[in-house]
Amino acid sequence: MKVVLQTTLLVASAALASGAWAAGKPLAKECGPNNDYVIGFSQANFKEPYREHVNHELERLVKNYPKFKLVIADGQATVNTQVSQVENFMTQHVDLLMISPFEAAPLTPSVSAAYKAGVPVIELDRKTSGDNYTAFVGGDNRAIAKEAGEWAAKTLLPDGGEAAILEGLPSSSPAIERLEGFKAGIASNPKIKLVAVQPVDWMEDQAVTVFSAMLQAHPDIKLVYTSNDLAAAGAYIAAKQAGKADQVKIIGTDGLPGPSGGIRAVADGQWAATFTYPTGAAQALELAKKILIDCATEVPRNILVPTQRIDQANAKSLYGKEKF
Amino acid sequence: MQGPRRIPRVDLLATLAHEASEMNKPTEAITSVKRRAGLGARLLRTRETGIIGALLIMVLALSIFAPNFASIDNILNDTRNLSFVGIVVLGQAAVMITGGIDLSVGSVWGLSAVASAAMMQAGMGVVPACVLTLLIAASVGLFNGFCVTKLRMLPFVPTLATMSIARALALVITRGKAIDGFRPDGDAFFALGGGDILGLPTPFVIFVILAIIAGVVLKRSVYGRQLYAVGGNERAAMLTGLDVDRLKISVYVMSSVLAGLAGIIEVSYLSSAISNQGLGKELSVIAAAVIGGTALSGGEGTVIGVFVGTVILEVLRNGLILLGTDAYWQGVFVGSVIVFAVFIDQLRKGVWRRR
Amino acid sequence: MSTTPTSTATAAVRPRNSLLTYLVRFQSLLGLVLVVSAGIMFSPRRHGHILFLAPDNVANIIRSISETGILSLGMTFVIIAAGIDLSVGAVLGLCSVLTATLLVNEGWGLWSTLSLVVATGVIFGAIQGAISTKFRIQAFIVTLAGLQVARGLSLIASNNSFININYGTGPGNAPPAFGILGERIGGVFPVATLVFLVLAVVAAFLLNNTRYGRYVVAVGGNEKAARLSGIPVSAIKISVYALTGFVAAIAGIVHAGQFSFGSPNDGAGYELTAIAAVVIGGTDLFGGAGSMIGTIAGAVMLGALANILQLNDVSAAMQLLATGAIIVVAAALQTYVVGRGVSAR
Repeated sequence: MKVVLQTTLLVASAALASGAWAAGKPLAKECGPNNDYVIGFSQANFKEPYREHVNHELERLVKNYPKFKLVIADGQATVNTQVSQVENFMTQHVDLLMISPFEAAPLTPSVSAAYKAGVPVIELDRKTSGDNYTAFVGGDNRAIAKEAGEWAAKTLLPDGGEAAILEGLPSSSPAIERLEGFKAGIASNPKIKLVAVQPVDWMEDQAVTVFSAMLQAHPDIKLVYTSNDLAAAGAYIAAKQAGKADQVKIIGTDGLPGPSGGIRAVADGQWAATFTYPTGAAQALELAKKILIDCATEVPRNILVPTQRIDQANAKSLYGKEKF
Repeated sequence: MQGPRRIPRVDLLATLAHEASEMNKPTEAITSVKRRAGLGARLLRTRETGIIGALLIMVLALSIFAPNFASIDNILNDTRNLSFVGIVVLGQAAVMITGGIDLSVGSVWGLSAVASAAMMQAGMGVVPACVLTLLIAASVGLFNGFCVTKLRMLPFVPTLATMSIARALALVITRGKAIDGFRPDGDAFFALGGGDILGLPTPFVIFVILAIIAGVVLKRSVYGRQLYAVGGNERAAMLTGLDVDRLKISVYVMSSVLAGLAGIIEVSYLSSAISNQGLGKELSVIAAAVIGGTALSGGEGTVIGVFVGTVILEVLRNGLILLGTDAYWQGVFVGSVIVFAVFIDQLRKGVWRRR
Repeated sequence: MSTTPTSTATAAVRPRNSLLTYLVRFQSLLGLVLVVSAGIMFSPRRHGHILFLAPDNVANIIRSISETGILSLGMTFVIIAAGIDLSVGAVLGLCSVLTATLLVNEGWGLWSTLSLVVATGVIFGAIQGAISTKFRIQAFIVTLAGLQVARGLSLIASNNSFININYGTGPGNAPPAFGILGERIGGVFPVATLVFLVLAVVAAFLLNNTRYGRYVVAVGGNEKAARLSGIPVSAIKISVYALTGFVAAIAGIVHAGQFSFGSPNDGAGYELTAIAAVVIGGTDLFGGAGSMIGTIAGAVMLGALANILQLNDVSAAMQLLATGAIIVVAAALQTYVVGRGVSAR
């Protein structure tokens, strides 16, 4: 009995001690304000315009952190390539891994390996499965799409009407989440009927072709929800061609800046609204600074970046501000 | 890629004779000199009749079953949409007639789109930017042609390589961004892709004009006949003194330039250019050419055929969307139609009766 | 390495210089040596260690090429038989989706799933081969169409979504044994690569040491002569497409196992990498001559190249450029030095 008690006490105190010690341990193995750090960002692909926007945001904002060197790798929308790139970052011994996994499950083993090897992992915009990451910064696709749907149901089409959806690349998580979210959102108004759903793979030219055909098959479409700004631009071209630019209300997603982005399109009255899907780049870099330079011992696990609806009321002023 | 490519000397004569008998001549009139069949019978025998017939059946079926397929607006939309691919198909058909293939057209399309946009954004005028872009496209074609002729590579290989290289250059030019803001609002450049001439979409008018030119050149000019000769039997063509190398280089240049033109027109329409423009279009282009009766082995193909092939592909896609078909069935349909079209063509030629 | 040209091919091959000929015959191995040396030279270093040669890095390289490597094994056969198969990437996707669906959603056992998936790949390939052979339609076209059909089928099988594979007992879980495909033996050697290696050995043996391999080479070299010598040409041609279907199915299973995941987008573009590996490996696109070892070396070379560029933070655009350039150089070597090519037509 005495032995058992003694052992238990020993184990308990050891656990307490290590716990106390762990609680005070910085998240990064080497940290401090005097070193230079390499951050490896594994981007799912460079093809989607949203992801290009994320890259640019990161490249722009990282200039504010002279100690950081940012390396961005293109996963080429292939899980095999992205896994290789995470592995290569490990070979290069990057100080911090940022990743937007193309898909969650396939990237989990390699990201977990990185995390377990002591490399801090910040997941941007998409998560891997499980808990092996330091922090997640991103929006909630489903919630944003649902908000768009509810706003459409209440404000845009309170009296109902026909609606269509142009979705992203089929079987990719954001496409699926935005589709389901929007459907849930408009369900709040039973007078809205969803008559057509087709994928346009995030591309503008496909959106033109597909939406023109949709307008032919369903001439009374009053609302179209698109999964990204480029698709909304294509939908606008199609609507204008069919002479229905006034009849069809267009909602985009992403809220990209620039002359071809959503903000300008809303400001010009071409679309009804767009919902920004903020990149989270600023938050992610701040987190990196806390981890690497400030030697933080813990950071918030989930930073949810909220969406902002850009509609006629705020588009013009925002466009002036966002322009760079 | 099937069939004997290397001819052992011993079989040379026999093979030449055999190939000569298999060579499909572009004008049926020569074969039916002895018994001059009536116009009706001759029309029925041309390869175009088959696919025009198929197109008519499709249009009829869709008009009945798909809502608003037959409306003027829809048809005009279709014509605009098919024009981009159609312009490229004209060049690809020329390449395929000489027995080659050009896999790089999608990437040259993209490269031209971003190059022209970037130049205009940098302040260059519309005309110089487009001319320079077409020159860039032409140089890609020149490279392809050079590899196929002087370096004697199979056309698959260098065009596969330029497919990657051109796409890489497009990525470099855009540096990952979309290029926009290069069109002053409401100007003539937009009319190129988005405007109308006499009620028809401008790209379609351009496509038709180019198709007429191509048709005349292929059927009536010496150059056209030389192209068929090269594709039908390259060895014989060489022996008769044709400059096979120059002919082949010319078609690759043409194919790239037309791909560049399609890219420029699309960019004027969409008013923004991303590095992905034209991605995957090479498969649509080849499919349209094949449906239109152009054989991969060379020596066959007509402009009317590929025109109809392009229309069929667009009508099929448009119809499937109008019918509300799930995205996944569209792939199955398009694939089956391609094989079916070639199958019908083989049936018409009685290819496997001769075994 | 054994390149086995037919007698007609030797008549057409005009070696200009025996040293150069040897160089080209071993071009893929030489190329691999070159790329590896460049990798060592340009590799970033850390505390004096050459990162490129780190065991983990090497393991990563061979893991990354396992699937396209498996595909290129089958592709070698098809190309030697003077054909081509553009659908392998899409069939990979179809098979990975099928594997995931059957294991997870339908609750099938491991062996029944694997059997059905492999059968699907083989039958799909055989159908393509049959259509191409019996109806004399160019393989390019048939497999192009097959690509579309396979993509469509995988979207249907997955219900337009992706499928995560969880391991365990009970419904909705796959047998844990399947997860071994994602493991590394001894923590270093990837199981996926082991599958590739085993298949590579079998494929090399099949090509070089069996009658079947000789028949394939004969059919690709001169179909008429082969038929006259009594070789069942149609059966051989259909069989090589069944082979590519088989390897695509295996690659799809490996993919699902490696990544615990099946998605209709899987394998997109893999066919071009497989073809590139075969071309770089010295196999003649005209058919009738080829080397399995060359293909394997070509596949490894492409993987090593991607790795070097990545380690040196070279942009994606440059990687595309480099791949394109290498394909051209390899093909130019083939035709220019050894004299294979259109000149012999």
